[in-house]
Amino acid sequence: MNSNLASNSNFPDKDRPSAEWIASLRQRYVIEKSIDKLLTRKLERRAGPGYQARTLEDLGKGIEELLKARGVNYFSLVNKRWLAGGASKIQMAFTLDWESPNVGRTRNNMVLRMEPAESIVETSRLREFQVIKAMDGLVPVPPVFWCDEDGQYLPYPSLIYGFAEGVTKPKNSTSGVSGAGTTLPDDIRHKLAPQFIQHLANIHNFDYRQASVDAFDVPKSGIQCAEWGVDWWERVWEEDGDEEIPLLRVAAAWLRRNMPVLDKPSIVHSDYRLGNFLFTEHNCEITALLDWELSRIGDRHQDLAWTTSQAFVTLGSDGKTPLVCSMMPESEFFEGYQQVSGLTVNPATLHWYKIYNNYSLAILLVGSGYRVARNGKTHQDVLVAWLSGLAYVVLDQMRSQLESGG
Amino acid sequence: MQLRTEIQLKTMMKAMDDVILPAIDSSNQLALEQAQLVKAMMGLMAHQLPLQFDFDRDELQRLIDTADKIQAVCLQLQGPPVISGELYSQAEQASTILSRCTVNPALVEERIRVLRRLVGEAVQEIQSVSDHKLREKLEGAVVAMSREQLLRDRALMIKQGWEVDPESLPTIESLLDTA
Repeated sequence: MNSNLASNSNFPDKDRPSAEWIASLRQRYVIEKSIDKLLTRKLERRAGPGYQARTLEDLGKGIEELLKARGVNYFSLVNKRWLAGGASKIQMAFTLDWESPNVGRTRNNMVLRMEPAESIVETSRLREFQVIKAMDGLVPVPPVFWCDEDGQYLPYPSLIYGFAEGVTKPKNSTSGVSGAGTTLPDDIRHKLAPQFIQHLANIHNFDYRQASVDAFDVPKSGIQCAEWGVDWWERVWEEDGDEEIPLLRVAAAWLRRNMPVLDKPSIVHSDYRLGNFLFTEHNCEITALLDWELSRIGDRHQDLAWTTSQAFVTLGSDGKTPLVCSMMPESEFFEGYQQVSGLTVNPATLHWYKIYNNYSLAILLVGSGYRVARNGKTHQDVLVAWLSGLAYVVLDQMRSQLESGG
Repeated sequence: MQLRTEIQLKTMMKAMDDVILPAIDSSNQLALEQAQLVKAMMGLMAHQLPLQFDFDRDELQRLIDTADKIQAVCLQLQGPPVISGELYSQAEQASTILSRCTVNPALVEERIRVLRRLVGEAVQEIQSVSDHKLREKLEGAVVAMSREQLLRDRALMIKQGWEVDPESLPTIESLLDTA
């Protein structure tokens, strides 16, 4: 069925957005400048071609152009191969033999992380580049090397970072898509849990004013942070959503009526969980925190609500105790976090962000996931379409949270 | 229901074209042929699905008409009946069923989409009303509807494996009362 069959004549054609409609959305929703730029670019390109499959050779040539433009000469690029994992970006691993400024002649295993024509989640490679650079030395992150912010050299905007050692889950373990449902053995979880808390505390206590993070806007004290968040995702729903979901309108209204005041702006990772960090199996050391693409300067409760989400809870070895990210009971997580960070956890703000996180996740899954798959915009439309089925679990959880009132 | 067969087939065919078919070893002719057939079969399904209801309705009408003609012929026969009377009784039942199949399912889907949109707009419009109790009543009705609908959405998607405790969900068949 045509996605707009049920619409009246005033309803916008989301697959071929008009300039007037794009302008009206930009006016209606006030969001960070770099996010506005991304969402606007997405709509302006939507009527254009879908994702064109690229070869390893194509991407290798793009990398060579980027490196030359960045002043890197006398290099060779070998062992190019596709990496699986992640619904939103295309990833290619390769080895670079080059003259590193600080090391001299060396070989580095690297990863190209490139956007498709339109992603299930539109994010900025420049923001990702800046935040990982800012975190380097504070928490374990993969080294980032170069950024092709606007896709000047590669087919689409891209980032090149170093290959970090480690695994996202123990060998021989099983899990669902994106690592949800992974269960950690007791000996591993006991070693990972304190590091997991410490790194999160370090991120939230980091003084971002000392770093080059000009792609991020800093919210004023008050409710601006919460308002930017709701405006961001409500705009995405307007841009991408197909079949209306009235519960999302109830949630948006509730979020706007109950916006929490920001007490301390922090770097927020926005996807801090098991599956998004690497650790070495022999000594259980966290070696790299990954997937910073949704990070923002905002409220730490967004991370705390996300990390403790039911979606990432598994039962302990006793078969009864729910464990946050398969590592520790929720009470231990919050106690440990408050002790290590010196920051407080406000239950009402936490509840608000639990609803906010589910609101944004549902929009991403069933709104953006549907739209990009419909228009053939990604390298794995079949996966993003599949993921849209998860939205109903997320929406029902959000419905239950709304009814519980907090 | 957003994840309808139309989008499922479209994305599966794209995966076949972009990833799976190019990855098959060209010396494995059986695998190549089967993969091409799988893709072609999906294309056929995508073409047939929107027509299936009208196609069946059209055929049933023709069969009913033919049964009527057969009955007319048989009425002119002398002696004991040579054709089972079941044909006439089944054709009568089919005629009753066909008289109930007057609306194409696509129109049902269209009305769902219209009402979803208007209910969503009603939630937005009530926000400007100062009477909080009225707003709560309207939102309560939408939440209650969503509770029932999401139960069915989750039950329909159960084979995807997202549920932590799938046994706790009623089956979609029982919820839709399809027995």
